[in-house]
This record gives sequence, structure tokens and C-alpha cells, in this order.
Amino acid sequence: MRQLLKLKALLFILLSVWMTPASSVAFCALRDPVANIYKLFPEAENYRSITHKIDESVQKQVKKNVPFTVHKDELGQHTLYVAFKDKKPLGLIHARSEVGLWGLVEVVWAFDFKMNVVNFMFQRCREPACQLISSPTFRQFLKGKSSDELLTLLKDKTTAYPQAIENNKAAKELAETVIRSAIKTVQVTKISWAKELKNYLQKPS
Amino acid sequence: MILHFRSKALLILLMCCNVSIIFAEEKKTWLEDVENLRWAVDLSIKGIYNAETGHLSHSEAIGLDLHKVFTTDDGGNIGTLILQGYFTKLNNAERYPSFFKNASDVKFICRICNFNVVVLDQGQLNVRAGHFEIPFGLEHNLDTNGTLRQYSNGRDLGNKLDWGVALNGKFAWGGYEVAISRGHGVDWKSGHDTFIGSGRVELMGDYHSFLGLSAFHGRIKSKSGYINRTRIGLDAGTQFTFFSILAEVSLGKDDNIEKIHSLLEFDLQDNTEKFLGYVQLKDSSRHIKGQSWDSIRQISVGTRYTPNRFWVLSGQWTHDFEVFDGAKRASVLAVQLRYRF
Repeated sequence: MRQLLKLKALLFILLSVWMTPASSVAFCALRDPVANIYKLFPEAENYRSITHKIDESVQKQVKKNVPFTVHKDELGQHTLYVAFKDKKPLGLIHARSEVGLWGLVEVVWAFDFKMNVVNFMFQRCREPACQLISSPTFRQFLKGKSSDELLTLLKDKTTAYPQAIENNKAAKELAETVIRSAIKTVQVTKISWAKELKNYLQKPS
Repeated sequence: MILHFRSKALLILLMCCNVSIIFAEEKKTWLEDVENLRWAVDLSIKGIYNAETGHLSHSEAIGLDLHKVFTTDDGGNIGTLILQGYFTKLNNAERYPSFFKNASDVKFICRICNFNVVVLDQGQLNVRAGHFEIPFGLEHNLDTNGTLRQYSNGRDLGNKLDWGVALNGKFAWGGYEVAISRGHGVDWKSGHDTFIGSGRVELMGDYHSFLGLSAFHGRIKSKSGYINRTRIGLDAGTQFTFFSILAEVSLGKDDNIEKIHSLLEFDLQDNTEKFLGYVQLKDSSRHIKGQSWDSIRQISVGTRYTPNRFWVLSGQWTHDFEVFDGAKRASVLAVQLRYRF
């Protein structure tokens, strides 16, 4: 009898909330990129999560702004992290996945509140070129760049990457994947987290 | 009566699923206004066939999976709440965990239901309270609840989940989780005659490999009385191109019986990670004083296809090469269809 009541209660909840953005992975498997947050902002003491839905309207807006957009598998609930020290916001962290040569490449991005690149780390990367792309040289190459500047890097066929990357085809492909990830992350963050960004821009650290 | 009601409920939910495929992106629900809340309805149907005995069974699960992060007004996160309430219905199951009453039982299980509170800055210390996975072996990183692909915890430790308190933290080098729990497993029961102390420390090599060291000690209730169970374990994983290798080994004792468990898994994934193929080799050996070592040796070959973020289709074949003296050999084919919306 108790089981039946529980089943009815659950059914009622399910039916009352039956439309939701989904994820094929159970939420117990969700992990914040904790270690990378503190590598990207070493002075941070804690961070705040802000979850928003990336839906088809965001997908369309990104497509309007740049020559590519988020894949339908990237839609759903995503989390933006704000790093804090002494209750002052230091910057933003956003992890995004890209399809690489050998599997998904998960990049954790750090941005300032004007959405310029501060730094990045790989959360997951199984390609031999990952070491080269995560080197200080390439990270310095991207540091401080805006979405427009990153887009110019991608479009401009005369872009000269650091030499070790320029001479390695797989590394160059991964470099372009990482730059595309940065542009998409900036676009998605600006659109989906517009309200929060505005608040933090008004109260700079 | 329950069966009849369940069939109707499943039918209604499946109809809802079909509609939600079309409208899921347009429709907004009241729950979306709750800050930092993720939730999903999780449905699964599993069919199991044992080729050795010709036994066919199936099970269904309906659950609500909820994840909520609590924050302060002007600063960081306070903690994370995970609630996973599932009804599971067995139908003529040949083998089933002891928390089910019979081969066709229906049971509500709070799979992972805990609150993880931030205590120290920089992720160094959090306190988790509630129902959680025992921190031991590969399972700690790779949650397999409700899926066909499983690691050693259930077979080796007896308890995969337990009610208790755990300290955990993350660092640049890896992380740790140390737990003390009641030793009752899935159900909350009165009585303080059982307990489990467990823990795992993980070292991250880089962004595609890890090494874990685990320990377990507990007094656990069994059909024949109580068992004092002790284990130490080592696990590791690495990825290269399309391939991954995962391995775990544990040594220990159940009272005076020596035990060794090992698992080796080879994975193959495509670059979108929609397809996964894996082979697991498993060995569970025991040594009773005065007797020779006795072993179960199994192979599992499995596949998982995730066409989109709603559906997961899995299949797995597990064959016993060798079983304990007097036990029956099994060769089990299982398929599962899972839908989250």
C-alpha cells in the first residue's frame, strides 16, 4: 500500500513537470571542474555556480553572430562559474566540449567580465597534441583576446601559430578546435548569462 | 493491482515522452525558475536472458533525478543536493539483490540522495551526508547506477551504496573521499550492529589518466550472520586515441576467508563518444583455510549507443568461464533502453 502511494506521488510529480531539458548522464555523475577553477584563478577562495538553459534560441543567435553554432547535443542545462576572493568576483569559468579527432575535448575557459580570454585548461583530452596546445606558449598566444580577435585568427589564413604548432598538422587542427570552443563559449555566455554578466560588469572587482 | 497500475503509469509516461521529443525545447516549466536546479525524469526498461537456463526476465525503472546547488546571496556555493528517487519493478528475475523481497518485487530506492556542504575554501574540504556510493575503486569516478556496465563494488564489497557521512576534497594533484556509514546498504534500518569505514585517494596523472588507492573495513550483515570485511584496492585508468584501459584489483578478507578481486576493461569509443564498446575480464577468488583457491572468472562484452541527450541503448553479454565449486554457470544477455527527459 505504501509503495503504491509512493508510486502515485512520484507519478504526480512526473506528470506535473513533464517537460524538461534532459541529459543522458545521471546527475550524480556531474562534476564541477574544481581543481581547474583554482588552477585558472589561483587566488580564488571559492566559486559560485549559475545554471542556465542553452536552448534553440541561443543556438540561432550564436549562428547569427559567428559562422558556426552549438551542436544540438550541447543544448540543455549548463553551468557558468564565478570565482571569488573576499566576496569579490575575479572572473568567469565555463567548461565546454568539442568533438576532436579522437574523442570529445573538454576545455575549461577562464574569462574576465568583458569576456576576454584569461586562460584555459583541458579537463579531458585524449589527443597526442594536447600537451603542445596546453603549453604556456599557446595559452599566452590566446591570453587577452576577445571573441572578434579569435574569429580573425580563425579566418585569417596567414595566422602564424607558435612554431611548434605551425609545424604539426594535428596540433594546428586542435588549436583551431580550441579557438572555436573559445568563440562559442563567449557567444553562449554573453547570450544565456547576459543578466549576470551585466551585474558583474557594473561591479568590477 | 500494482502491476496493472504500473502498466498504465508506464504507458502514460511513455506517451508523454513521445510528445516531449517534439516540444521539449519550447515548453517552460515552473521548475526552471528555481535557481541552479537541474532535474530529469529517467525511464528504463531492461531485458535479461540466461542462455544456460533459458530464463527470461525484465525490469523497469521510473525515477526523478534532481541536482540543486545552493549559494549565498553575495558569494560562492554553500553545497550541492542530489536526490535520485527511483521505483524499480522486477519481473521474474533469476538473480536479484537482497534488498528486493522476491523475484517480482517493486521497490522505491533513493539511489544517490545526499547533501555535500562546502566547509573549507578552494574545495579542500566538503562534508557529504546521506545516501552515497562507497568511495572505493573505479566506481567512485564512473557512476554506473541503473546501467548494465558495472565495476566490482557490488560483487566485492556487498554494499555499493550506504547511508552515512563522508569528508571529501579536490586538489591540483587529485582528490580524496573518506566515509563512515551504517553498513545497511540501500535501506535505512534501525540498529547499530553494522558499520563501514571506507576511503579513496586519487592521483590525477594528467587530463586522461588517474590512479586510485582505496580501503574498506566493515561489519556487515549476511544471510548467515555477520561478516567482518576488509579490503585494500588499487585502480587506474588511462585514455589514448579511441582507446581506454581501466583496471582495479582488491585484496582482503571476509572473516578468515582470503579474497582477491580484479577487473580489466578495454574501451573503444568514436570521436563523438556516442558509441562505446567494451570488454571486461573479471576474476573473484577466495581461499578458505585448508582448501585450495576457488574462483569465478567472467567476461563481459558490451556496447552503449547514445544517439542524443535523451536516449541511451545498451547491450551486454556476460559469460562465466569458471564458477565456484557447486555453483551454476551463467551466460547472460542483457539489453536496456533508457530515456531521460
